[in-house]
Amino acid sequence: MTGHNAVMAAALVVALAGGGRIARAQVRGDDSATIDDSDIDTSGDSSDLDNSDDAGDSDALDTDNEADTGDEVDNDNEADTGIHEGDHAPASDAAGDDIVMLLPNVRITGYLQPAAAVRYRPDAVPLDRWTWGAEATRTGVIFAGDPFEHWNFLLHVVVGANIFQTIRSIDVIDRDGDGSPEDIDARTQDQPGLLVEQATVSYAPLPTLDFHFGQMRIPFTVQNQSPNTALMFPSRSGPNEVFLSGTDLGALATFAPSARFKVQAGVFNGTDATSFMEQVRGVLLALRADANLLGAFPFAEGDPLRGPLRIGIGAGLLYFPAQGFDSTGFAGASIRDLRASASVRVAVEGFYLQAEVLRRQRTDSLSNRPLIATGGYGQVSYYIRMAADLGVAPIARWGITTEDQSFSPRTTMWSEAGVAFYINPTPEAPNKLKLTLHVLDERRLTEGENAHGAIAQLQLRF
Amino acid sequence: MALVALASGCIDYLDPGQHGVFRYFGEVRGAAPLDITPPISDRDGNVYVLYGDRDLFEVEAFVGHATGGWSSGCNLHKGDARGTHGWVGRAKNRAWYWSGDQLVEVSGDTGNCRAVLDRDPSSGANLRFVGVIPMVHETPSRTYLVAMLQSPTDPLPYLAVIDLDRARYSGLTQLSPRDASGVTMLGVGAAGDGETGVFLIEYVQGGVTHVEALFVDPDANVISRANISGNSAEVLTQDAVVGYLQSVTGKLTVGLLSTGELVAFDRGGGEIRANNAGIAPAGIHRWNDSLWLVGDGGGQPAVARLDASGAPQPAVVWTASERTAAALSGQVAVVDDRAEPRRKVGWPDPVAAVGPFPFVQAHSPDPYADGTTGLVIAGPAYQVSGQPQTSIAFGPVGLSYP
Repeated sequence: MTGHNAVMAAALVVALAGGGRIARAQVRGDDSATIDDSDIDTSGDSSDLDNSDDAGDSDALDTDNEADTGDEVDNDNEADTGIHEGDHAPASDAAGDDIVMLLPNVRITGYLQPAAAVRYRPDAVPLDRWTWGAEATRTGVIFAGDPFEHWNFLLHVVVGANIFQTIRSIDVIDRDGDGSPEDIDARTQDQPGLLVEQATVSYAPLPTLDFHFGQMRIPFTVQNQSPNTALMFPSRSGPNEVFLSGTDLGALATFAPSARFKVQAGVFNGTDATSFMEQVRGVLLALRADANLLGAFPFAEGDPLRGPLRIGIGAGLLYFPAQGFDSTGFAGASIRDLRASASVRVAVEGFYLQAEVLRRQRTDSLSNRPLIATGGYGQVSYYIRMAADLGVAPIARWGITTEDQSFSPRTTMWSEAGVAFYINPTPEAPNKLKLTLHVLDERRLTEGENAHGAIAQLQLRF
Repeated sequence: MALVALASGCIDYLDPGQHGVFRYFGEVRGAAPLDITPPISDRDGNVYVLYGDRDLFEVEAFVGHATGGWSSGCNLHKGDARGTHGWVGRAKNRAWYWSGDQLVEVSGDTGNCRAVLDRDPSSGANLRFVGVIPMVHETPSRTYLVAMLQSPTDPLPYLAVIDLDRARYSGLTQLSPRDASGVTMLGVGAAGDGETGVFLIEYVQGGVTHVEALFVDPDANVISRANISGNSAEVLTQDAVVGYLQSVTGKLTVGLLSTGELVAFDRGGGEIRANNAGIAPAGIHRWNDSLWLVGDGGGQPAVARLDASGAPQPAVVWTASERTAAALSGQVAVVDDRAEPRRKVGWPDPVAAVGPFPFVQAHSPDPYADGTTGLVIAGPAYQVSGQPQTSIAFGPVGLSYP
């Protein structure tokens, strides 16, 4: 982003925050405020094969109906929110002018991801059997800055990350006119979602240690740490979304003594950790460790730089002990929710392999029915440099998840394959302009229903 | 780290006879054993208990919410010729029961209930659910089951797929032969394969009474018809099968008749045969891919495995039932879950609410978790206008068969 754009966007923020007061930015003629947007890399997930509004399929064929719209920011432990000396846009010096420029340390970056998809669900009602068309264009906008030494902030909002159904009107139906309604007709309307992907203040007392406070994704899996614009496929794997999605409120400490090792520990509200109790109180403890055995290995999926051999292993843990309360405010059931993940990644000369296994066990003191789920996925790609301005990477992924293992196991299997085109790749930002074409097959083995789809997504980062 | 986490997260299931938290949810008329259909649960963990019986032309559904608390008051029932058949299936947060000639949906979240296709959406005709396959198919696209419907003007009932989300039917096929008359539903069942359902019907054609089993697929297509022979075939009455017909694979199917005899058949045919297990039978159960005849073996709970032909093996004492009964002796802690805030109370010597012994019941116990089922117990009773009212509670109990 040029300094011109950054300042203009900052002015827009001022205008919005200032109750409509028009701000005109001071425009610098240089590009010194340019930042590497590969460092601030966020986006939202697209849904895969379920765009229907069927009743009764609350979680069917739809693993990302929750607010899981983006990526972790600062995935590679680089100082991606800092602005280098001299990069600051100047404060307003327009004395006598009505121009006010108050946010000199704000950088703005983002991305757009228009997409089109076709889906076929042979067992659905005719309305939902074939669906096709353009998808909501996910647009991520990120404001970042470091107004004080060691302190920085980041706000990341995603527009169109998902489609929400909102109730437009409700009619009470009284067919026989006896004053007793027989039914209710609720009319809904699709609305693009506007989600806060991340809103954090960070403090980095040491180069190897920083603390994030606010709303963020929990670094439970590798994919939860991967920038969405650097994902192999347009969305994360199905198993990953089953075990954790969305953001949470809390604090996260990251300790990275070297590029080879990173430990993250956090405490969160756990508000997205359970749907079992509406009124729960507890602290979600998160722990994640990643070791890159042969050197730095960022979480971007793929190897467009065709680097040397790198190997990364890691594990994540979420533990959520909580107390539920009934509607009168008295203690109800207590909950213990435990999730674990383990991962391995390998990259060499364009080849990239990533696999994760996940497990969840949740128990409570009331039901004696544990909630158990197990899943995993593996994905692979191979980057081929076709020309100086074009790279092509065949991609493939397979995943499986079994839920409700203690009660009535339900297994879902995903198979995906496609190709990603890297247009005008540069070593600094190989995926600034990227086109991904892929097909997806989702098999509900237990229910005996399948869905198939093809998705094309264009990604442009700015 | 992940391995450590998983190791520390071991889960203990209930041993046979061991029980979890009992939740006191209401009172019903009568004294134990009560007219209650064994409970089921949905994917979200909501629990459903049905007060009703084949000989009782009224019903009341209780819903135990996964987060605690209960709802009751749903008493939809149609007809005065048939009683309550039982729960026919569940989905994520709903369950359906079949009572009289009506199919009713009950919400696990709210306890709200509604009749499914009480009237024909097109003609407004009163619809009777003559038979309902006790198996709800829940897929990402729809939730449905197979049923046999009939309106007052229909000479023969129709097989249909019932869309439970939209309350519509599809795939209507009139029962054949078309010159049949006096069609009587004897029993219904679903196989453990999750695909096959079966109607056991009796009808008259050309003055001859036929007993047939109709195997149907999830699209309400009849995939096989089996003729049933046997001494009592011509004297069977409506809803003669106690509980539901049971099958593991959708082939061999066994049921207990109200006469005490067994009906066993596969897709090629079958027969009604005497029960020679030496026990007073209560029902046929399916548990972990096996079929069992359960009953009273001379003052003890008894169970006999059914072999590949549907014949009962020698009966043995059902120790899991005995252990459960023993665990209920003395003072049993019960959570009064009728209203919030909850509190603990003690029930002296409660007993199983259904059957003479725990699990000795017409319906197969519903799997609640690995090796666990739900049990309704009967606690303190009192008199209202000379009628006993009995407190009842639900709890998970470990279960095994020999």
